[in-house]
Amino acid sequence: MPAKSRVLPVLDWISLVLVLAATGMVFFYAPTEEVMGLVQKVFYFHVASAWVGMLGFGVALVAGIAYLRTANPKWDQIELAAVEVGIVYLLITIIVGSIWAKPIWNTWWTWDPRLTTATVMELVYAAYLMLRAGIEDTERRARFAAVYTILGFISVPLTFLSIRIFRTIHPVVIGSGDPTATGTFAMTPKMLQTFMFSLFVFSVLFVDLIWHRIRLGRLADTVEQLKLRLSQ
Amino acid sequence: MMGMVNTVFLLNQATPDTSGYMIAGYIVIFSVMLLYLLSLFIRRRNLEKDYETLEEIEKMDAEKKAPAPPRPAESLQK
Amino acid sequence: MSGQGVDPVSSPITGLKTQEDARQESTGASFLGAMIAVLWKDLAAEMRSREVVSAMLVFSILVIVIFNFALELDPQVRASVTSGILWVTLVFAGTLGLNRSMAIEKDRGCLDGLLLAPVDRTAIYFGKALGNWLFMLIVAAIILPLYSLLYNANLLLGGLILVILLGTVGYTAVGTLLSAMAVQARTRDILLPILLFPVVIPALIASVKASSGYLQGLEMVDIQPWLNLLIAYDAIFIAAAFMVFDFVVEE
Repeated sequence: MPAKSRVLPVLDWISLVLVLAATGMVFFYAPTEEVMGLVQKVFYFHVASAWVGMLGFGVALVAGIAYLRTANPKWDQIELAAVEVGIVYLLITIIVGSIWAKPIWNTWWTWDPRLTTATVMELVYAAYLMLRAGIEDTERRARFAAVYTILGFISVPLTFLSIRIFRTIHPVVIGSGDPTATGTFAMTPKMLQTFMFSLFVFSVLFVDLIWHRIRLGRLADTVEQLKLRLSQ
Repeated sequence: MMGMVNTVFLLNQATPDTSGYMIAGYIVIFSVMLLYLLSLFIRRRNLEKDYETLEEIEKMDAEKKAPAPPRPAESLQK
Repeated sequence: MSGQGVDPVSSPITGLKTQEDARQESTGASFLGAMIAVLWKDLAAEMRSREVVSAMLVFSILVIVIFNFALELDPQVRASVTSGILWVTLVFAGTLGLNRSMAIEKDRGCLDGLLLAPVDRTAIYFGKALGNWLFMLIVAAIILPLYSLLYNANLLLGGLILVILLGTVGYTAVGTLLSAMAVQARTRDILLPILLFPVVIPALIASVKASSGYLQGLEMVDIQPWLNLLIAYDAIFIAAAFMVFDFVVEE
């Protein structure tokens, strides 16, 4: 069995404390936004989740390329772990965004570039999981999965662009203030601090989760090999 | 339609009560995260169980193949 | 490039070293020759059996007929949904063709034979993709006039034909690559559309928008962005497929 890590439990506790601290900051430190009311507070974790999702898919892309270059199964485990964590956090982003949109946009859903792209991304990576499930040979599974990660990742910006040619109503809080967007607001220093801290906390959480998932993948491979050895 | 929502808010100058949506949002965030942690935990536990069973089987196989040392017959049966 | 850093014992490449060398020696002319050979083989087989194109065609006509009832296509509604119907038909029929053309190779063991041949593997890919593209164009060439006839609308516009040419290139470029992956999976019949559709969404959106632009007689300024997007999609995915096809058939 893969050896237990001594750093990982420490990271678990750090992540837990950080998440609690960030939650506390969101509710008790950041001021309430005047136009939108309390619902604006989901913004901090909404964007942080989206960040983790993108981080996951980015890591998966790098791992996919690395796998094709080296054929080292380690990269395949990292890729799968990153995709899975990415899917979970992108799902959180989509659902929470939809809950925010109801009072602000007066609808649960709209086919805006960001929303649509996020949905298509979930579908790409759901297809990725189905591809893996359909192939038994581990080496071939890893190879195909890496190829599909690369293709899927390339299609995402093109999907975004294709829908961007229409007008968008999604707010861009960081960077430019597009006046046509609904639900934009100016961040006060306290809001900015809370936001930055949430991003940091979720990044730490990402490392912790992906680490756990990689260990799980490694254990699954060990069990698989053991089964194979016994069946011979 | 979207502009209207803003205008209504501006006219009232009062912050709308959207706390229900905020609570729903945070319930979703934490419950999805907990569900994922739970799934990681359950999968790990099942794999560990599998691993232990497989190791036991392997040990028994090794004993079977080895030139049988004098030992009770039942242990060789399985 | 596929053999770099691979453990020599477990690598499936090492056994094929001599072919790898032969492949390196192959020149541009033999690349083209191999590509045309693969394409010719597909066309000749199709001429004899006619099973792929006929299946795609019958399926397309069925889809068009079903849409007629599903959408209650009165003249006003029809004008706005024609390009959507056209592309949904083409995309579904295309999946059928892609799946079949790879499944034939796999089942008859042709794929393995092709891969053992001392030619550049990407030549095989381009040959297959070109064949699939031609099949789709044949289907489009029949359903365009047929649709025009059945619904009393003229679809034989130069612009629309250009969009169909561009859109199907990107579609078959990705589709051929993914179908080569899907046929090697246990769940191969259901896997191709699931893998393919999320990846071709940008090409599909651009094709539908550009087609309806031409059908509604919009200004070129409104259509141009979609054409640009289509061209970019085609270029990017042909290049990507070129780079990764080796990994899909490697063993």
